[in-house]
Amino acid sequence: MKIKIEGGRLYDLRNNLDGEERDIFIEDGIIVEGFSSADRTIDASGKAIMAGGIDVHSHIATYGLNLIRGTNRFYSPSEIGHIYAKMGYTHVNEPFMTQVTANYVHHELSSIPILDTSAFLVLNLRDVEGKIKSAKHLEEVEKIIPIIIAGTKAIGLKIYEPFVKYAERKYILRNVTAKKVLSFFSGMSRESIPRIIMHTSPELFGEEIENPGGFHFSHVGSAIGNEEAYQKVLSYLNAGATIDLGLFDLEQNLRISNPKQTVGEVFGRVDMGLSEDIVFSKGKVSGSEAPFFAFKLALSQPSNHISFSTDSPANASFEAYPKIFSWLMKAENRANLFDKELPEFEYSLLDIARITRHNPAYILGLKNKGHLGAGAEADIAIYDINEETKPSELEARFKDCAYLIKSGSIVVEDHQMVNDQVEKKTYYRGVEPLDYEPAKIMTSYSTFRFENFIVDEVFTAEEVKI
Amino acid sequence: MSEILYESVVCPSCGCLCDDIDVVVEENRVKSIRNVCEWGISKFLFTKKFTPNVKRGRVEKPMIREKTLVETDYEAAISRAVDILKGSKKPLIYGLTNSGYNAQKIALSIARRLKGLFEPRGAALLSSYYAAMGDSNFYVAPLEEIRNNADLIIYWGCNPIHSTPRHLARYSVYPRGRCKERGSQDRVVFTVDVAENEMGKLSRRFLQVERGTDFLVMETMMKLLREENAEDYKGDIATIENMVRQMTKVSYGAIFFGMGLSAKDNAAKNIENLMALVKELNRKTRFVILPLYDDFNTSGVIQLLIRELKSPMPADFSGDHVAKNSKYSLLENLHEIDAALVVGDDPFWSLPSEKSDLLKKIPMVLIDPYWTRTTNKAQVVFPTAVTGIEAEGIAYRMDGLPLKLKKVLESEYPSDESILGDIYQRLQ
Repeated sequence: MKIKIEGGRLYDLRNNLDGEERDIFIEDGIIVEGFSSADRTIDASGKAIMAGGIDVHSHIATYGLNLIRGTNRFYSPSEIGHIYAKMGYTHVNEPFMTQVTANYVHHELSSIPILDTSAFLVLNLRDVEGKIKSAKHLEEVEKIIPIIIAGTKAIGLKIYEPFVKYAERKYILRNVTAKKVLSFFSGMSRESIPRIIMHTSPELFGEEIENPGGFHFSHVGSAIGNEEAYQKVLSYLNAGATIDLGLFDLEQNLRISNPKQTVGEVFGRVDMGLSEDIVFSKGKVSGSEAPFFAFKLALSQPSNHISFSTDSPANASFEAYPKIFSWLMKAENRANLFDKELPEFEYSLLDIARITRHNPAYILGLKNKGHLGAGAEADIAIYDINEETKPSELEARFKDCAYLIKSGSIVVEDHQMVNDQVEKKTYYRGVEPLDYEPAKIMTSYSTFRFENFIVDEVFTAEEVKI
Repeated sequence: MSEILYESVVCPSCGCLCDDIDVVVEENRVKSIRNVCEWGISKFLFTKKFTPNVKRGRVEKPMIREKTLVETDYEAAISRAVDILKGSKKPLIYGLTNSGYNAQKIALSIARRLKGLFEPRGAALLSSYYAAMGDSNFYVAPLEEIRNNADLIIYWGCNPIHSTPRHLARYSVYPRGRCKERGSQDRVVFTVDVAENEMGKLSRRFLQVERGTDFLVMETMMKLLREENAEDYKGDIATIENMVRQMTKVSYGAIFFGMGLSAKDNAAKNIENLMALVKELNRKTRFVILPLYDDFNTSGVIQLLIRELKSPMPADFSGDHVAKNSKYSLLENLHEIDAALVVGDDPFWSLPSEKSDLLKKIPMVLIDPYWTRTTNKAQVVFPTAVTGIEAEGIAYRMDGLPLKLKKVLESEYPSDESILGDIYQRLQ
């Protein structure tokens, strides 16, 4: 189907469009330069148009979450797809997939309607504990990691705990310090893995990182509870690191964390093979300066290195994104959030497009997403927002987009969900040529044979290799 | 004739889903098979469980009941099945724990469309487990981590030797784990059951309990953990004291429970107390708990129900609004049901007779590869390919991790997924 979108104002950093009025032409699911006759024309005059939103960090398919969902404490896959679509999002990245849970995570993600998905592979450092103590094995590990990423159909590598620590004293010689781990991964070549994603914690910011420019620090808001950590993040950004913000909505939220970071009521815990269990809890963060510093960071230095996130559902559920956008865009909307003064900076629509589209697409390596130029995937969100929109109306407008087009099909039309059975894809980082042999050491202590670790296409949506 | 070697096939026998089965096929017959347990052999050779030399009778043609069951063609059987289901006010969709995930998904859609009831086999115990999970905390781990870390394994109300034969060898007792490098020498096994069985012989401690009174044992254990007086317990208190002492000393314990806990309709009470016990133990050390599924895809149907309905409990679509999840088994209200679609289960063997007798009175559509006690009671019978051997599929292991089931043999029969798909299509 050929669709023409007329008269809208476009916000797209890559193509230098800051509210310029342009028509968009869609053919076969792709944005094209133009065509003579359209099958369908959408009038977007007086509306803001952005590429479909990309969430770089949202726990929607983490192993264990189904047990929370089973007691009605989390959204169903169908609700997730619908809520995101109404907010103008078309891609969500799951940040916690281990080698063991890869099939599970992809199967869960493929059950979410509308959204394209991807996932970060959390490497269990115990599988390579003997190899990461010194740079001697660097080349070998550099060979293994892209294979494991390709085999588990992941889009990036994440390190959740930058150390190896055994509870039992007799294994003390197997432990690897954070310093060694960080130094090892700092030295990795960026050819096959452009950026390593680091789970951030206050402890991580206590360590020295030699080459922060090679890392992406996720949900930094959760880990910057003081000025010192805040300054450290700024220095990492200046050194070329990228981050996602991990902003807060200061409500009761479901947390997926280590036992020390739980708040409020604890629901249960899952052993994921890390040094500590992953604990599910729900409560409100209190007595911490982290929310303040997270917003201070967001409002001090918008750049191409910063993406939006809330570590959903931990610091804020994804459903609260529109509220947080309205806080970022208008100082009066956030006036009563904290006792202390936040910077006065206000995000423009282009800034919002930058942190929710352009930058996440860059972090995930999605070249055909996050922008509205010819050749891009036709994932397009149209919001009823213009210069006359009152600050108090912003949240509602972001929550309920006027139109959403996903892969060239209309999903939301005139604020109504009209079709949730659209094409959806699983994006992953491939490697050529793919020879699994060197990676087989990763299954030495596994209950699965290596062949069954390779995620089969029955668990994914249509696969797209980047 | 050439041989074909299929490596790393997933065994569709029990919830272990062992993924290291190597099968050699010649002329569409299994010629040799490696790493498989005795049950697995029976499954791959289509013979009786643990008796690989006795063939199981396959249903060979679709059948419908005239005065007796008579063979018919597939289309006629589908028409009759659809007529029965369409004519029903409140049908029950039952079984499904031996079907692939996609077949389960279609069956749930059928229940939704017909405004019927949907209940997987064994729901009474599982519902209790998930209900207790909502009230208490859950402590779970993939089998990987149990194998890597556990130094105490407790089997409660189950006999893995019979229900999940390679469980001990692959996941719990014998394998060498990352932190348990000497395998079984680094681990201790306890068993709690109503009668001493094979497990009793290989366990360090065996505790015999009176049928249906497991909750009292758990209560006593909790009292001992809290250092309260537990003298009012009338059973084998010495063994319990000994067990509790050891339970607090270990660094990582894993409890597997089974159908034994649903005896005498005490499932809810037993499971509630067991979950509370695990919570209590976690104050002192690290313990996880998992159900031991003896059907290969019980976990799949649970995952499906949670994804679709946000509750693992049996679902009742008969109301005007959205599905209502029953807290426990819907089979309590079996007299309200006026038709049944049974997939891959033999309720006349697995259900108590007072319940299965009620099924005799209503028309039943059965999808099963084999002749069972239920076949003769059905109005329509579909033969089907065996999922995981003659048809592909997805199954969830007992820890909730999915694996792809392969097809190693050609079959003349359609898969249960395609039969259910055809029925669903005709219900539109």
